[in-house]
Amino acid sequence: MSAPPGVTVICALASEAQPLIDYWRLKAVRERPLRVFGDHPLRVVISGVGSHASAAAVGFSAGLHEARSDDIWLNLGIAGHRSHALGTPLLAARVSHHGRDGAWYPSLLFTAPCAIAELITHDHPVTDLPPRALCDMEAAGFMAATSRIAAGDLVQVVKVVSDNVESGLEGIERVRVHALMLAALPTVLTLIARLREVAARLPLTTDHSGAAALLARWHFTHAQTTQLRQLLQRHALLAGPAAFNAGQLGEPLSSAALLASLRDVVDNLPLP
Amino acid sequence: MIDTVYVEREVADHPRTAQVLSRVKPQQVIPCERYGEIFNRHNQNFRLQKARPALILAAKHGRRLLPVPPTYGLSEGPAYYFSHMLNCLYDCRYCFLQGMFRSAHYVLFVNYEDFIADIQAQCAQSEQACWLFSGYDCDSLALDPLTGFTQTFIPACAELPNVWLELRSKSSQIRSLLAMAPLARCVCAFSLSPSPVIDAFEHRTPSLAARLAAIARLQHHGWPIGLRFDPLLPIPNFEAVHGAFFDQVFGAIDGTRLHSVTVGVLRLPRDQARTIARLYPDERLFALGHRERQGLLTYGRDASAMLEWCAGRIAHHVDPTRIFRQAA
Repeated sequence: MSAPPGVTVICALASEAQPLIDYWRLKAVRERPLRVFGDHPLRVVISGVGSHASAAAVGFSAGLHEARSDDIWLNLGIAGHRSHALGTPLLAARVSHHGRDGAWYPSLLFTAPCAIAELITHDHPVTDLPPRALCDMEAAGFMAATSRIAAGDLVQVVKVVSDNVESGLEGIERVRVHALMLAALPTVLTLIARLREVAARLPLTTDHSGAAALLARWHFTHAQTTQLRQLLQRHALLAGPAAFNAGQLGEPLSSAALLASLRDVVDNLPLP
Repeated sequence: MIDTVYVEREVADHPRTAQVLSRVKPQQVIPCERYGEIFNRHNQNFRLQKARPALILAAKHGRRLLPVPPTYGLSEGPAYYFSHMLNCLYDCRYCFLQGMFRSAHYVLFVNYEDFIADIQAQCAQSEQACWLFSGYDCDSLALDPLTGFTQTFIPACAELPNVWLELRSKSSQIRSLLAMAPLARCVCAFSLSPSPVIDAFEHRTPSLAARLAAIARLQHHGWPIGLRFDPLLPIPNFEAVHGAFFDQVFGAIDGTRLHSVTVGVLRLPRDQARTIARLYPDERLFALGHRERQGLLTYGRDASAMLEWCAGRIAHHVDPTRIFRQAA
């Protein structure tokens, strides 16, 4: 990809997002319908609490920019865990919605920057924490929405333990959440850096320099424009990036004739 | 090598699961319900996953033994293929698996005993020789030290007098084969390409020299050997490169003792070829001109001529009746 991949972070609460907003020095760019900080390539969106709110925030955020195959999506927030210490960041390896069938398995195509855990999304705060799984209120909605619009290998959920069997829910308030998230920030930044490394493995999209001149001279439909770019890409791969010479196509009378001539040239190029 | 292993709950207590986990020693083991939850989901990128594939341990349900396509078999009689694994350790740019599967993760079906029961039931119905092909959706040998595939399936097939088994591989992992007595009805078939093709298109595979050394050891040990020159690719200086290549191959391997040789051109189902080309828009192999015949794509230039030229050269070393052509 020519520009760096976009990173969209969805948090339920402003206190969950603030350390990242401060670190990236993002400015508030929208207040309604959702609070949005920053623009491409770094954006943080405050969704509000609940899986539906998280799913809606994904859809809203997706409409803020033109989708790319290397877009990175992260659901960041707090969650309960029976035994892990408060402040422990955990990467979700399996996400499900309590009482519903199905699960999502975020791809682990990098070395995890922290421990992993199963995560169960509930519709209400949970005090009876299960033995091994994280419990939150958003991730299943986030995963359901991103699975429809994003590259599945670049979607992650990271949660910071805010309550366990010893602490209960009472201590969860804004200042404390901010402190927990601030302490986990290095892990979150490492995760994003590793996701960027994964995204960087996607192929570069290059626009052949010869395309602009041809597009200016003839009228091409949208489909023909795609065909032209594909043919020029093939020509560049087989003959070298600088080898294309429009003169070798003769004097075609139309865009269709030009494409036919170019296809004939490309189809007869050997493997270099 | 493998950091993440997903384990279907159904096989969590299977002895082979414990065996594989003890060999892999993954950083994380994640339980799942069915392998399809991970392997078949939408919006996966085979190319991204291929850089760091996970392993999924699962049970194979449904049809475990499938009839081979009509042009695939080497003789009369029933022929089936089966896949104890999906996906391959290697990363060959022309491989159809890239276009067939949504995921590059490895799936290992650990319920070997169910495969063997199916083989026994299916082949008992035939009085003819019954061919079984392994290595269609994976490499038969590449992960053998991990999976114990040959140690289980070869003795099982040895007990079935009408069963012929073909292993297909690019691997040099032959220790378990050397440790057992050769089975005359088990053909170890190796895919070979000239070194320039291996370097350019067969990423992470053993070198030609390593493959030839492994084949020579197996042949010396008494295993029936098949050679698969498939797919032939239209590389520059085709005849010079392939002439030297065949000299090297038959300098190392006794062509008169081969079970079979196949030569074939690249042929990919149209939709799979398009998927692969989308995954690798920067790959020159898929930039080549191609033609389509009965839903299969092959390159447009000189495919038949290349095939015949190679078959002719191979016939200097191998009985021509043992040479089979796989044209598009």
